[in-house]
Amino acid sequence: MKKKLILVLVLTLVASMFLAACAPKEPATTGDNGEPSKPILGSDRGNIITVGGTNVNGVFNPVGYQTAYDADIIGLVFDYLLSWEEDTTLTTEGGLAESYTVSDDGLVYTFKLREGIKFHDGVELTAEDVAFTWEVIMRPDYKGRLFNSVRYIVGAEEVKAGDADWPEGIKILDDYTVEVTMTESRATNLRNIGTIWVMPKHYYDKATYDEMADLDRDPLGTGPFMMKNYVVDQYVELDPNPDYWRGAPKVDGYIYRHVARANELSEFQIGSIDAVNFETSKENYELIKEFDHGYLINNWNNGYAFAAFNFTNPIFQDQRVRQALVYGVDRHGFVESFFGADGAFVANTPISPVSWAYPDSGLNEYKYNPEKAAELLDEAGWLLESDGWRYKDGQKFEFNWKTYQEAAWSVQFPALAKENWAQLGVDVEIELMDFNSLGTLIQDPANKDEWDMYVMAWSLTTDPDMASTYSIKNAPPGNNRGYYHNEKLEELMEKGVLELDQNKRKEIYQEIAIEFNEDLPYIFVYMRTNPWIVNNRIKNFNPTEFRRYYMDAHLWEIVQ
Amino acid sequence: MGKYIIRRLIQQIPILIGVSILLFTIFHFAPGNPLASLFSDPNMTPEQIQQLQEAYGFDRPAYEQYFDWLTNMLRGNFGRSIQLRQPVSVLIQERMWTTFQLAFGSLFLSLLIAIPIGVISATKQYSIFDYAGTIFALMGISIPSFFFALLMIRFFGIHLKWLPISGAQSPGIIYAFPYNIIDRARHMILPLAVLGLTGAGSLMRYTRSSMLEVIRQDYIRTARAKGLKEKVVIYKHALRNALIPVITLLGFSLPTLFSGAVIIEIMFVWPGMGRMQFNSVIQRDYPLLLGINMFLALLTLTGNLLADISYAFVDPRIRYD
Repeated sequence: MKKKLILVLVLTLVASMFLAACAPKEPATTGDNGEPSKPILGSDRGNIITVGGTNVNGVFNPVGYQTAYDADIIGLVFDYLLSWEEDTTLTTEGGLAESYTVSDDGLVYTFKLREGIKFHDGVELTAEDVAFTWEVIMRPDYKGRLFNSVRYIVGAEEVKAGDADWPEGIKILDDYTVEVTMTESRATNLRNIGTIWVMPKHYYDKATYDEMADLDRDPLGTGPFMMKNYVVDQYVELDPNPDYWRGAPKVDGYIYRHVARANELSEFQIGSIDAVNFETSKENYELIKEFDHGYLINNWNNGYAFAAFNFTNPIFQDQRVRQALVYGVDRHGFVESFFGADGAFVANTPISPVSWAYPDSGLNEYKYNPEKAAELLDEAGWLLESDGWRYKDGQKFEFNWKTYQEAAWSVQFPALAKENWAQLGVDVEIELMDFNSLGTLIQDPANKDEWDMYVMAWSLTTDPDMASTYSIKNAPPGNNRGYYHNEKLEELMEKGVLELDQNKRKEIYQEIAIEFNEDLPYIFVYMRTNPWIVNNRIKNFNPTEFRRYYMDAHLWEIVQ
Repeated sequence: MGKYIIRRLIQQIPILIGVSILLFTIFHFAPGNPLASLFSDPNMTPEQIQQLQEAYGFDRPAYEQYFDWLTNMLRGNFGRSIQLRQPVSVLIQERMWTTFQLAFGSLFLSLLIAIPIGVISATKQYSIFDYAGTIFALMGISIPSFFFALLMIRFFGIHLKWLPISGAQSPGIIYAFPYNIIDRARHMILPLAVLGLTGAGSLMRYTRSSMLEVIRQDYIRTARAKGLKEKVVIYKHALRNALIPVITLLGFSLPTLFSGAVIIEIMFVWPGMGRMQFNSVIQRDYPLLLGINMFLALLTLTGNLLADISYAFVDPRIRYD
């Protein structure tokens, strides 16, 4: 008896391995090609939309979240005070504010709220909730990431330091009107204070920040969806809000389903999820061609990958040297072979190509050109010697490059550069670390002599202001980790953020883009796509470059 | 016996304190920072970074941080996770039983496969069955579990569509009593099979070699000489003794029943300790990392104690007085 059982088990194992080994070829021939009458995959879930994703931490708090996945859930449950259009222009359309005014000196902002909007518990939204949302970020025990959004409100620093209970700059004029006074007139002010998710004071006003965390899994907002059920590391289930002020959602529910990164497209293939924001790779683009029950939404990702120079090392202070290093590595070949023709393009400036701030022309592409690179190095005084390496005043052209092992590009790109540069006579030593260690190393001012280059990627905000990563004011522990300092850019960046006229801002940022392109604080490597695949049964699911998929979620529709 | 257990339990207290010092020191001096990903937000300013370090208390001397943590822990407060913001004890409780279900199930499956095959392989050494068993064991030991998992997912989940490929339950549906168990079981089959089959290999080799040793002992020859039936000799006299090393192994595996199989949990989206532990290492989530490791240290000590006690039951030569 037992023997038979064992035999069956062994046979199953062997058989499954044998058959499974053939399986990867299967998808092309299976699928539902032969049977067009079959219902769309996933239609058994009815009028409920299921979105797949790799990680939700369960921190559904508009001021405390740490990952974009949690933010997506928050975006469905809460509403912004001000929303924005596809081109990033701020708008009251879709926001809780009915209108707003800005004083002539650009310091006083007055928001008028829509009347009659209710939180999911039936309590009406008032100006007090908006004021609370700003104030809670200023509290001394706040441990989230958003303080930068409110720091220019008068009195914010005092509240943060514990010297005041309430920021002077926030005044509640009546139930639906709130006035904010800023310390400086900046182009980013309105976006910073306007694009927040408004939280109900009566629900979230707790004595400590930690106590507020107890509400993380039961978020309460005004948004199109309401929290129903969160099962840790499995799924988040939301109910439609029938009283949503922009109109009740057309779907009967939303489920965020946790899927493994390695299997995200398999999940879509078998129909267990309706939409997934999948990883950009050549293989994935090939794979989705075999799916006939979904459509691709291929946006550019708002962010760029780079390799940074450490400007405290005198080698990199010469612009010609930086340009030579960029000419000397085949970025175009790398990006093409890594992401395919449609998955990414070579970045040359820290601004998204779909932003209004991106220049129409004038960017140098720095196509791979070893002769030009050698010329520039000769000019800079780094001369090739008989041992194959370049020297200047007896000093060899050598440095280290710290990179992280969690991503494939961050391992392969430095390896390619090492090979390309060796032909130029430049010797680089690559050191692999884990992401967290690398981040900690370069953040600490005490370590500035320990590294010469590192790789990482920045995400871009809807506003092009980039001073937090390039201004010398933000040298470590701030995010200008390479101590980049360019007086012309400092002035331009300051001018750009203080200018309120959109057309003039555009001119300034286009000039900035070209200056960055020439001066090269980084080796800009690539901007990739941010692709979604969505089941044909889902309509009005519209993530774009600057708008996340949850905006206008009440319009989602399921047709089958 | 009672006295022995109490003595052992008291011995565990200084050991646990030693472990806590060791763990704290290792994590404190390892490179990395739990706030690194927060600091990488492009909008962070140097002042904000300073303020956050202070708000979390990471700017204070290490020994102060340790004593704070230790005194809180003695009061039963393990602190809050930095990433997940919930109390560490809640986070562990939420996940330890799902991990246990999978780990216990797969251990049981491993034993079910490994012990009979191991015993038969030993009694019929160099037979075809023995060779087949050895090949099976070698496959189990050498196949990487993520690869095996991918094959299983491809075949049973995508090709045949028999089983769900991820999760521990169907999302968004609350089943009534018998169906919730069926639903859970359907989700468990694939990860259980991967863990059980890959785990059976080494356990089988263990049983086999231990059995081989035992059946050469004098008392087995004596039993045979007495004219006992071969079945009685093998299954009553030999097996009991052969299982002693296996019991040690099982005692050691108590912590692994709760620590979770990282790769399998990630591949199959099983909501257990392994995934959380992995993420807490990646993120340097110190409170969570320390909490989990203290919990596992306690389980390791308990597992050893249980193994020592169960020796007394299977091996009459061992007595604790």
